[in-house]
Amino acid sequence: MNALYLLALLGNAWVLLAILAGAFIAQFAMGEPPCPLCVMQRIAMMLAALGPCYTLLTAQREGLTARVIGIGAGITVLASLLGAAISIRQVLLHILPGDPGFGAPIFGFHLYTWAAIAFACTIAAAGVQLLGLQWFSGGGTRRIPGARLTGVALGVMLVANILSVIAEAGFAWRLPDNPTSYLLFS
Amino acid sequence: MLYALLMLGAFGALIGFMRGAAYGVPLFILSLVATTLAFVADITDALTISL
Repeated sequence: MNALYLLALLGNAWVLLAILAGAFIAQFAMGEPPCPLCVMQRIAMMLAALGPCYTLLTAQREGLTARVIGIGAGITVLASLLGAAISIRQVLLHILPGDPGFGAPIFGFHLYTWAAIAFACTIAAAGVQLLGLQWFSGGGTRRIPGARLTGVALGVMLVANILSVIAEAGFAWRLPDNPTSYLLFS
Repeated sequence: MLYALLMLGAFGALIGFMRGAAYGVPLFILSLVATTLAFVADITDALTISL
């Protein structure tokens, strides 16, 4: 198996996890509960992170075949397209001059702008994976260091987000458009 | 609750991938389609209000 390719996959997954962790830190440090579009972007980002996780976890059992790389890249592209559509919609909602945007900017951009950039980069990364399919695939099955840890980290992130959204929405079916508090505790 | 269910679908897909089960990819597709529908519903609500 191509070690460099596997390292890139691990990097891809952990960058997405770091962005999600950053959003979580912003949520609690700045006291800004996420809006419905923010939550949907998080869901799309976690779905996108499933792509590299699928490739890493399945390659351990079946080897790094073209089928495994193709399905993993497909998962990433589809989820990232949805995430890009959601984040671009939120960018457009706040594009008028004088609009302060939703939430505080981080490093000069709002989180949804960073999300749009991240989704575009993720699609590009998946494109590179598909472009190099012939070179990356091959080799037998073996244990990939960090693959299971990446899956567990994504699982923890998913559970944390599920608990966060339940705390935010309470027992309501949908989130308020501009949430200011955690309805479960109010 | 809606968003928690969507994330639960993604969690199920991850469990499927980790266990090498056949339901992983179908659960991912289900979760993706449901999230897309939630997004479309959000846009449609906004359009209805603005119209």
